[in-house]
Amino acid sequence: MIDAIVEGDVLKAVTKAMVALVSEARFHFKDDTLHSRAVDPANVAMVIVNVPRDSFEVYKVDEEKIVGVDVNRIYDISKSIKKGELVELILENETTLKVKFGSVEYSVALIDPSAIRKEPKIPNLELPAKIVLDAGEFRKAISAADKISDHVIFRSDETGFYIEAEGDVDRITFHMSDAELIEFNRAEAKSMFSVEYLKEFMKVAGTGDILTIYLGNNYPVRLIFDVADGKAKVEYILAPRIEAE
Amino acid sequence: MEPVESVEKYRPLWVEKYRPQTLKDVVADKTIIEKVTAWAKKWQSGGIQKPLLFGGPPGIGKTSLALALANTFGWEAVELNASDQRNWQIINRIVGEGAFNQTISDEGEFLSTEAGKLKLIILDEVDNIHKKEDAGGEGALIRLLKKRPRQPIILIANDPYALSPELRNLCDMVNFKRLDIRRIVKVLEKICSAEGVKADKKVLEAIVRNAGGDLRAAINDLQAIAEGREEIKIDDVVIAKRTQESDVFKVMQKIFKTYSTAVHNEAMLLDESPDDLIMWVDENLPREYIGEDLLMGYKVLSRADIFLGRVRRRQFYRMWKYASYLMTVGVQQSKREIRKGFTRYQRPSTWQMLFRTRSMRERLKSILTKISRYSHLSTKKAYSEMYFLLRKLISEAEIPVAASISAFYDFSEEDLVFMTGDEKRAKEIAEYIAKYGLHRVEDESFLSTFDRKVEAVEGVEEELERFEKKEDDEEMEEAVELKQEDSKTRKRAKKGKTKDATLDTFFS
Repeated sequence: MIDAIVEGDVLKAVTKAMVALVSEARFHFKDDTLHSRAVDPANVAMVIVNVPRDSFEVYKVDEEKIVGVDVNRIYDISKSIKKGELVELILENETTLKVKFGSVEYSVALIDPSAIRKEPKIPNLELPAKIVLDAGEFRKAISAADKISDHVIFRSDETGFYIEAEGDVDRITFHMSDAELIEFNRAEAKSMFSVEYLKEFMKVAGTGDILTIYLGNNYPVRLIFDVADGKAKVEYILAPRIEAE
Repeated sequence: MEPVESVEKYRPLWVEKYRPQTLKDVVADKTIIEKVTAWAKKWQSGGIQKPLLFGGPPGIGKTSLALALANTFGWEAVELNASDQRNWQIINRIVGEGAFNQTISDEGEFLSTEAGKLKLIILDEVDNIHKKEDAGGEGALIRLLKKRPRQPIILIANDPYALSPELRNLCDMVNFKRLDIRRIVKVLEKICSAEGVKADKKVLEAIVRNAGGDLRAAINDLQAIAEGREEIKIDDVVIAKRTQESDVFKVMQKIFKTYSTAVHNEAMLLDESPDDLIMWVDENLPREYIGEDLLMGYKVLSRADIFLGRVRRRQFYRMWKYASYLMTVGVQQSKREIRKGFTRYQRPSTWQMLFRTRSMRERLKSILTKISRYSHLSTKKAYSEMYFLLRKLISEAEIPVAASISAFYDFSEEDLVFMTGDEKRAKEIAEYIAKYGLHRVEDESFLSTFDRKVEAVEGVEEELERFEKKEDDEEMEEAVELKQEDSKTRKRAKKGKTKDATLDTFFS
């Protein structure tokens, strides 16, 4: 038996983060966190979601449990939760999850976890550059890049952090210097990524949320968003584009 | 959870359990495996290759080969099959993004193409994508393939020729053939020994023959028969017979030799539409019934045909039921007694006949099209009102008349041969047409200009030529055309009364 009460925004953020990549996922109700991770069907990106126990109003887990969830459904449901409203998740048996908020109670059928793609390990990546910035700024840069190209270059050196996109005729450069960034280690790194994915990722966070980027050379990028007032952590790992010859 | 259920749940399909892991285990032609291996090796060494297109009947190892290939080369395999929802967005995601980005494996490792760690994208049942509701799946795929994907892609189709030529040209085709019975038997033998089932070779052969060269079907049948047993015998195979075409003959037998109305249900299980089934009944009815039975049988069958016609015209498929009931049970019940003895039922000759007469039908159709166009009729009316008249005239009238008619309708010599059924006459007419340059005048307004000019230059041909030279640029164009035609028509005009090949003189 699992009983958890949390702010609706947290559930919304978490499911939204998963929906960007997969339609079904396994959720672990661990003693200290609610955790989930999955690789997208094209094997290009991974999402890792963590909600620590402290973020819950109530978190009662008699026994650690893995459940298979249709995240699209839960995300749809969570959209109707009002801001600031609390939502209760109840798991009494293996087959249904109850989602209660306000005067509504949804019973959502669960998926046999063995039918869902097995979970990835979290890769060990050597990523020299660490950039911390406001997610809102990042969002602006990606939206601009999306208008002219399907890929962007993330670059960092001692002068700052750059997001560059090149279209057929136009070019966009987004630059933040050390002073504008929340945290920056001035390391050199450069990789190219698909806008298609970044576009989905940035939807999970808004202005005021903190985004931490770990960047390498022709290597995957880690994007860690602190969402829902820092109550949940969403991490994306995105493989780089293959450079054109 | 009850224990029984969990046992049920974890019992794998043998098709999956014994899916080949590496290329060595794959049952396929050597040439195919060589070709595919060479393709993979070129990828491995950094060369971008065209995607492969695997074509061939179901159940012969196309998907297995693709998966085994990925396994052998240590590539990550991304599979997109028809069971998934496949609109252009998903194709864009999987192919568009998957093929242009590096890989994060299911295990959570980063795989870089620079290290030769590729991702094989397998698009199963490609021939089904454009039939899905979300049209444009194929278009999306073509656009993506044109961008030269950076990761290997294998497209799989049962019928590659159902794909657009554009898509086919973007790929290298690999054709899979039906497997040899002995090779399938060998696979089954291996599975039997692994599962601890004793089975005679003859039994396995029966299963394989039943599955018709489909390895997957054969393995599935084997599992259905043998799972949980220690030995299988030939009698077990008969129970599990697959429904196949040979069953049409069984249905025929039930119609003609019994009174059992269950035949209707059986006929419905066949892979034949009522339109085809009626042909079978029609073909075999006179082989079986005689005298009044035959009359009654055909009476019922014709009623069935009326329903089929209505289905087609009104697009109201519920009436198929009446048609199929009449053509099976109706025909069955119309006999007074069952005739003894064996009758060899035949496949309908109608299809062969249609095939044989195809060129003739097409010829007639082209003739009717011409008549309908030049006489301003529908092709139906052209056939019912004009065709026979014209045929008689062309066959029997004097050559000049026949020639002017055929010139008016622009009939070719082949058309004439078809209509007269007499090559010599057709040739004569054609020669006459050629000799006097009879031809159609397409543009009626042009004709009136022609008439004016003719009046102006009446009689003297030399004058005509001089006159043409003087023509100013504006009229030059017409004049040049006229020049050749004129001189010929003039000659004819002198000889007889026919103008250009209009039928005015003829019909008035």
